Amino acid sequence: MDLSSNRQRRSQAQEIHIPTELVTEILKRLPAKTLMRFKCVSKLWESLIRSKYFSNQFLTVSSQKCLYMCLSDINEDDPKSVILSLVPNATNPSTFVVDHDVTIPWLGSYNLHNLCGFMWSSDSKIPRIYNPATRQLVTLPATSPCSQGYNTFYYFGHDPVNDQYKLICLNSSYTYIRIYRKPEGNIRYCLIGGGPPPSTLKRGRRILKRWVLVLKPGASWKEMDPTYNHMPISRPGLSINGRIYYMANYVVVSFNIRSEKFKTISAPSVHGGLKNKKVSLIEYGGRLALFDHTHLKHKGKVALWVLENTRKEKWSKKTLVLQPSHLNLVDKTNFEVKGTTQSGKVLLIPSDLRSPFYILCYDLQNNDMTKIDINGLPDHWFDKKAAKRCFSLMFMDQSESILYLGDLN
Amino acid sequence: MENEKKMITLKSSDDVTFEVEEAVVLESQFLSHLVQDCPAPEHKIKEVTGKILSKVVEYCEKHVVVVVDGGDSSSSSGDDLKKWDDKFIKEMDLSTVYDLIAAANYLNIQALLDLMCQRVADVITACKDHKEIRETLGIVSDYTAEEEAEVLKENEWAFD
Repeated sequence: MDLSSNRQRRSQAQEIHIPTELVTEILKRLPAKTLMRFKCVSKLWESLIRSKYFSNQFLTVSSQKCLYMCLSDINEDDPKSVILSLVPNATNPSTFVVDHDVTIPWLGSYNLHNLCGFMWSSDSKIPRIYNPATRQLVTLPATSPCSQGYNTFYYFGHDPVNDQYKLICLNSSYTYIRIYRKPEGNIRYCLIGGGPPPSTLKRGRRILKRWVLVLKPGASWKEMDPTYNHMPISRPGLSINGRIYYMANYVVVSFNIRSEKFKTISAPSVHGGLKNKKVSLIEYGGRLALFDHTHLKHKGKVALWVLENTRKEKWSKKTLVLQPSHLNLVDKTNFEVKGTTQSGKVLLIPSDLRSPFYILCYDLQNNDMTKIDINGLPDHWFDKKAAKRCFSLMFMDQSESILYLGDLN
Repeated sequence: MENEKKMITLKSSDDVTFEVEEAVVLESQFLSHLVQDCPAPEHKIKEVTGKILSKVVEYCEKHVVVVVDGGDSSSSSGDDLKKWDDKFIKEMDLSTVYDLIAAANYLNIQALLDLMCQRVADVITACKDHKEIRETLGIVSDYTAEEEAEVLKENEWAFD
């Protein structure tokens, strides 16, 4: 052992043994980055830091706010993407500044979502999960059954009872029918299932194939029964209290993460139906809600539909009217909903990248809207043509999760 | 009045005795249950040495909230207490800190446990790399050179 130090307390420390339960008490007070440094100290410490027991302890102490922004140059010749990390300005907490010390690998997607403290990209061919606290990037099993070139949807959720993360993959395609002509002129049909269209076959019904995956080492996709109804809409899902919710044409589908059962909930009569891009699923006071901001820009109004009773499919409607002093924040720009904060505020992100760039934080309980300035974005992103770039934001205000996801492959 | 206060004697594993006011003992969840359940004048604490118990008593005496006659609180104000805590831990070597963590855990004194654990956490945070952490905390690495190189590579970013 290297004992080059001449400081006395160090040589004294050589004789000390700390019981493991007290080690946890000390380690859970460390910032995530220091912990990752600590993993190199010994195997015992590494396995402790990687353990689920420890990561649950850690969640009770640590907490920080962070914004992640993915900027992409979608020029066909040379597509480039960068993910920036933004932290609140120490003197002015309503401003977030780019932290140039952090570099994050591109996840292969232009769209970022925050799920349970993980960064999750759902629209790439190979879904990936990134943990910004540990910098662990996990690629889902390559044998994913869903990569057939059809509409594929992934949803991610957490079951707090069994402390399990699960993913569902839905793949919508058509069934195909082979036609046999008997000599006597009768026609017989034979269903040959979903999949890519063989050229000589007749297209049949739409089919939704469904798979589930438990996020743990050695994970693999398990196929569930397919369905012919409720094709998902290409919009983010949500995980609340052990259930995953996603939107289909006329219903909201709920997936019970523990029992792996699907259930449909009739949607209320929102303006333009669920296909209206201004309607989003949000969590409101621990309940599922639909946030409709169709009339935000021109009338300063938002409709909120809260699911009061899941079994009776009862939704209550509230109309929120912006305070007159807040109208100037919304009347020139189109916004998109990008999730809610831990305290239940809705984040609204402009559809276009304009300087000075800001996002809005809408407190539904108090009907109060705050502007959050985003500083330090490199200028060249503003100079590009809108059609040649895209961006996505993700807000993270829950505790950093140091959960080690394991090698899934 | 001073002499009306109930006094309790604590005896360490190496038979050093400390006479303290009951209010001081109540800072420890463990001791307050012990005093309530068995009203003996003296309590032996086999798990804690005299050296460490003296530190525990010193901490609890400083932190106890005592309302004296006239309604004026004699406990220290928040700022003073923080300064006192800073001085209290600064003078201590790590081996005493560890013993105090074990004692605070056993006696169930949450504020003392928090203070001591944070002290070790601060020492660790100040270390620039894994070697310095090992040296400071006296940990023997069980990695082979290859394993260490691999885990170092995986966590390279944390050393910026």
